[in-house]
Amino acid sequence: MSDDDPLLSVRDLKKHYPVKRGFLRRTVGHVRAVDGIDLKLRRGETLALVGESGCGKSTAARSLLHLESPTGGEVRFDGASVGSFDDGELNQFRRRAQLLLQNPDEAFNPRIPVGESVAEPMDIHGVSDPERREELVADRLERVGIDPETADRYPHEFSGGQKQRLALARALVFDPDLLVADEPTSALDERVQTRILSLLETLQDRHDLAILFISHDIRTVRRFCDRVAVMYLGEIVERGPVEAVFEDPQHPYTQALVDAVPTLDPGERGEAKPLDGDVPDPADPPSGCRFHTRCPVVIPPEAFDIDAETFRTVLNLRLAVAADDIDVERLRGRLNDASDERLRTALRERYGVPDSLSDGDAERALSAALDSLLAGDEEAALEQLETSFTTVCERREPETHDTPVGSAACHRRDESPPF
Amino acid sequence: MPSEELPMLDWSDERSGFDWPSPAVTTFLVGVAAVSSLYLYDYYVAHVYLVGQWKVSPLEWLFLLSLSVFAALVVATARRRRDAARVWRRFRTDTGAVVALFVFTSIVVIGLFGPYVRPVTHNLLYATQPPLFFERSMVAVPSCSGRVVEGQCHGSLRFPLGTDRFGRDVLALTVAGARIATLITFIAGLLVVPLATVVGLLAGYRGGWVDKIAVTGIDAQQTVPAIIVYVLIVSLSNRSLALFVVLFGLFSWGSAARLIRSETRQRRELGYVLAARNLGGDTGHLLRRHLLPNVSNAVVTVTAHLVPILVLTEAAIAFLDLTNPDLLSWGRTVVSAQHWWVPLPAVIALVAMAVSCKLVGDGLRDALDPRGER
Repeated sequence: MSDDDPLLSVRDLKKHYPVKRGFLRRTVGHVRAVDGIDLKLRRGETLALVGESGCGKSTAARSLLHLESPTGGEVRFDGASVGSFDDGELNQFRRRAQLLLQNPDEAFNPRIPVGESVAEPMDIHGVSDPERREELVADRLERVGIDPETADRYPHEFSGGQKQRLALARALVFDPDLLVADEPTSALDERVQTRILSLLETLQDRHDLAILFISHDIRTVRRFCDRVAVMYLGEIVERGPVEAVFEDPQHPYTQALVDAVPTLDPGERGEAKPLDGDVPDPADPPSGCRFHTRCPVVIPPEAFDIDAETFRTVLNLRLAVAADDIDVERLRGRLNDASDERLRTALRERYGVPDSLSDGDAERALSAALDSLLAGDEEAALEQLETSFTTVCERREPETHDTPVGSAACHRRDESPPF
Repeated sequence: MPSEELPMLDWSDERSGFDWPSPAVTTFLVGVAAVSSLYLYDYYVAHVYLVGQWKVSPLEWLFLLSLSVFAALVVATARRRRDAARVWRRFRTDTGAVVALFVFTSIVVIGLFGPYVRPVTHNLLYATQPPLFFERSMVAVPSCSGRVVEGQCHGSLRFPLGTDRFGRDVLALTVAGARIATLITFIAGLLVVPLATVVGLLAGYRGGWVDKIAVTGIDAQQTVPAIIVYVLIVSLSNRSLALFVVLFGLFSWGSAARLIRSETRQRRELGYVLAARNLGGDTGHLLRRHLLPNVSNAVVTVTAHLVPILVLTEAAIAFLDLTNPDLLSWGRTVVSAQHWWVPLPAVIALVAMAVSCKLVGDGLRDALDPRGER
C-alpha cells in the first residue's frame, strides 16, 4: 500500500430508511439520513465530521462500519470493499475498525464487570488463553490510565470519564487501524474531555491510528482534528483542513456553525445571528441546495434588486405560507379585528420583512401575495410568492466547487453568478 | 504508561469457521437426544414398562425433557462459577429469600423423592385417624393406631398428620401433591419459560417479520382462555395432567414472551449492544452475553409468577373436580376432605410453595443486578 492510498475511502455512501404507513405497511417514502457522502481518511490522520444533531453523522458512522448495511455507495477499507467481505474478512475488519460511542454510561453492559467487557473482543474472536487475556486487558487498562486492579468492578462504579477511557481500552484491544469516535466527549465535562482527547492523541501518535471524529463541537474539532467535513442533512457541504475551513468558511452553513460557537470577546459578541429553525425533515429534504430554507445568504432572484438579507425574510414568509403556518383568522382575532393594513404590518413584522421592499416589482408581488393571503386565498398567495420569489438555491443542486484549500457545495461559488 | 510496543495478538491460531456449541448447549442437546431415544425405545421396544414397573406417563416424559434443560443450566452455572459465586454472595444477604429458597427446595426435593419413601396406601381399618397431639372419640374411628385414653383415640407417629376417610395417610397425600407441584414447576420453569424467553429475545432483537409473527401468535393465543379449552377437551376425552400442563403451558407463555420482548426491544439499540456488534459479535453472542443478562429481571419475575400460577391453577381445577380423581394433587386432597386435618397440610404447602417461589424470585432478581450491591 502506498502512502497516498487512503486507509478508509467512502464513496457516495447512502443510508435511507423506508417510511411505512397504513395497514399494509406500504413504503410511502424514505428518510434520507445519509445521502451520498464521500470521505477519505489516511493512516495517522484525524478527520472530523461535523454538523448539527440530526444531520446524519451517527448514521454515517454506523453505515460506514457496516453495522447497518448502506443503501448505496461503497466503503473501501485498506483498498478492499467492505460490502463484499466474506465472514472471515469481515471478522478481520471488525478487529481493525473500532467504534467509540457518545454515551459512556451505556457503552458497558451493566451486568458484566468492566474487565470482562474490555476482554469481550477476545471472547468474540476466540482468544481463549486466560493468561494472555489478563495480560492484554491489564496492558490496555494501564494505557488508558485505569488501575487494572479495578477490573472486576461493575460499570456503575466508574465515572463517565473513566467509562469512556474503558471504552477506549476495549476499542484498543486489537490495536486497530481505524477508530470511529462518535461524539466521544460530548457527554463529558471540559476537564475530562481534555483528558480523553490528549489520550486519543497519544495513542494516535504511537499506533498511527486513523480517527474519524464525529462531533458537533467546533472547538473540540479545531483543537484535535486535521481535516474536517461539514455535514448538513445527509450531505457534505464543505471540506478542507480544519484551520482553513473554520478561519474562512466557504459555505454559509459552516459560517453559521462557526458563528454559533460562544465567544468571550465582547467585540465579536452579538454580531452573528444564530441559525433559525431545526434541520428539515430528512424524509422530505428541501429541493436544490438543502440549506436554502435556513441559509442567511440565500441568493436573491435575478429579476429583483433586493439584498440577500431582505430576500431571506421574504423567503421565510413564503416557506411559512407553504408549510401552512400562517393562520390569518387567528391573527385577526388576536389583533381585535384590526384592519387589513395592520394585519399586513403584523405579518411583515413577524417575518422581519421591511415595510416596503426597495425593488418596486418585488414590492408589488409581495403586496399582491399578502392581499390574497388576507383574502383567505392561500393557494393564490403561495403561487404568487413562488413565482416571484424563487432562488437558484432551490432550483438546482449546487455543484461542489474547489476552494483554495478544499471544496464547498454552494451556488455562491458558481463561476458565473446568476445575479 | 507501559512500553511503547503494544502487545500484539497472533492470528495464526485464528479459530476455524465452525463453532462448536457451548458446553451448556451440548448438554441440552445430549439430554434431548437421550430422552427422545428413551421415548422411542419405550414406544417400539419396551411397550408398557420402561424399566421394571415404571410406566412413564406423558407428564413424566415432559419432566424428563425439562431435566435436560436443568442439566444445561447446571453446566452453564458451573462454567461461570465466579459469576455464580457473586450472585450467591448477594443472594445470601437477603435472609427472607434464603429461607424461601430452603422451603422451596424442600418442597421440590420431597416432591421428587418423597413418594418413594412414603407412598399412598389405603387402609380402611385406620380411616379418619386424628393427627399427632390431637384426639378423637373411639366411636368415630374403625380402630386406633395410637394410644386410647378414656375412650379417646390419640394421634400416633404412624400417621403423624392423621388419615382421611379412606384410611390414606395425609402425610403421604401431601407428599404426593408435592410431586405433582414439582412436575409442574419443572415443566413451567424449565420448558415454558425458556421457550418464552427465546421467542421474546428473538422477536425483540430481530424485529421485522420475526417480531410480527411472534406478536401475532401471542395475540392469537391470548384471546383463547386456556380453561375453556381445557374444559372442552376434558369433556370429550380423558383427563390427564399432561393435558393440563401442555394446555396451560402453551397458553401461558404469551404474556411472558411479550414482556421479555419489550424489555429486549428497549435494549437492542443501547451502546453496549452496538459496541459488541462492532466488535464482530454475532446474534447468539449478543443475545446470550448482553440481552439475556439484562432482561433477566423480566425472566426471573416471569418464572416466579408463572410457576405458582400453574400450581394454583391445577389446584383450582382439581378443586372444581375437573382433573383425574387418581391424581392426588393438593387441590384434589382439599376437595375430597371431610375432616379439618386433611386439607390443612395441603393448603399450607400450597401457600408455602407460592410464597417461597415469589420470594426466591425477588431475591434472585436483586442478586442478579450488580447495581443493588448491599
